[in-house]
Amino acid sequence: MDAGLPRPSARVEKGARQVKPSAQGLLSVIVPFYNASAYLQNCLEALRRRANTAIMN
Amino acid sequence: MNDGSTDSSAEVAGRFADRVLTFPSPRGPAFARNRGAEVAKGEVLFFIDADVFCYPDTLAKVSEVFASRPDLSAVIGSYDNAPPAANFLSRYKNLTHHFVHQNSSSEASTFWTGCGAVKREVFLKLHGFDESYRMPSIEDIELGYRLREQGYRIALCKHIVVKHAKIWTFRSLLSSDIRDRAIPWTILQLYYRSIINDLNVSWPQRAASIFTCLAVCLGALSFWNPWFLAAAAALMIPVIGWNYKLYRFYYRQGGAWFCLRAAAMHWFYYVYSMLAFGTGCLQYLARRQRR
Repeated sequence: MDAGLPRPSARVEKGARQVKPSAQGLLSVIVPFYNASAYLQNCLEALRRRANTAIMN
Repeated sequence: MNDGSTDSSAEVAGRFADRVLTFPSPRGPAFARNRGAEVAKGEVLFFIDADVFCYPDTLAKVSEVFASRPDLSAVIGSYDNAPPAANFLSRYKNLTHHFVHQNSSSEASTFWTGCGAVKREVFLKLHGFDESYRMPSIEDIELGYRLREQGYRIALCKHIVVKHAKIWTFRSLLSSDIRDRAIPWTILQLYYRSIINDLNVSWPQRAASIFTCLAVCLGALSFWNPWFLAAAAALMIPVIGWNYKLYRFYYRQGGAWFCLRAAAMHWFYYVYSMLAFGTGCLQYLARRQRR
């Protein structure tokens, strides 16, 4: 999951912090799993939400 | 990175991840993470376990730290103080982990993949995790040793927190702490001839381990002479003193009953950690003799 993190002009969600322009490095999120279906949905859902927010912004 | 799952994990991951790599049989998280790093496009690799949930600002904070601290090659975070698993052992274990990270040096000595990020360039230069670890073990700590050995800096950023959802049982706790952590970490420290003074292996913690083991021995002797029990109790006074902040934290999180049980569990942890340390030393010596 690659997330271009919040751009300087980003609309920041309530409670989230504005990130400096220099913080735009691409972050790759790597999640290894083995028979982890009980946990995985919550883990990836939380990550996906963040990545989508960052990309949309 | 689907490490040979036989349940519905791959299908679940497929609904959320950009890309799911599937390996036909389990090769361990070191192998899986290394393959992920090879195909990743980011400048920074962020590792998280499948039973860890990030907060809305976790990724932004990681990015922010790398942007504001160009001297850093890696960053690790901390578990939060509100683990969702409600059973005693899970609360004890997850809260202890939180406390240790929140009270350790910000200049980290090890890496941690529960919530850890590393510059991809550096990671690939060091050839990633040691894939000889075929099970979840100390592959992250081992990478941290190599990072430090090569002069790279790792920061423990206590404001980067994630939630650990793992449900611990007595058996999983013992096998993880002894087989997967304490024994291999002992061997690793002997191999590098580097005893770190941080996290749960600081000098006060080592002394507390020794004192607790002595107290247990004296307690056993009290069947022969009751005065040994008084000596055992005296030995536990400094142990409580060294861990006063931790036990106060237990009390604040769960009240007196939780604090009592957690402190007892913590003393048990000292005993089995000492046994694991001895086992690790013996295994290290045996390996050296075989060479």
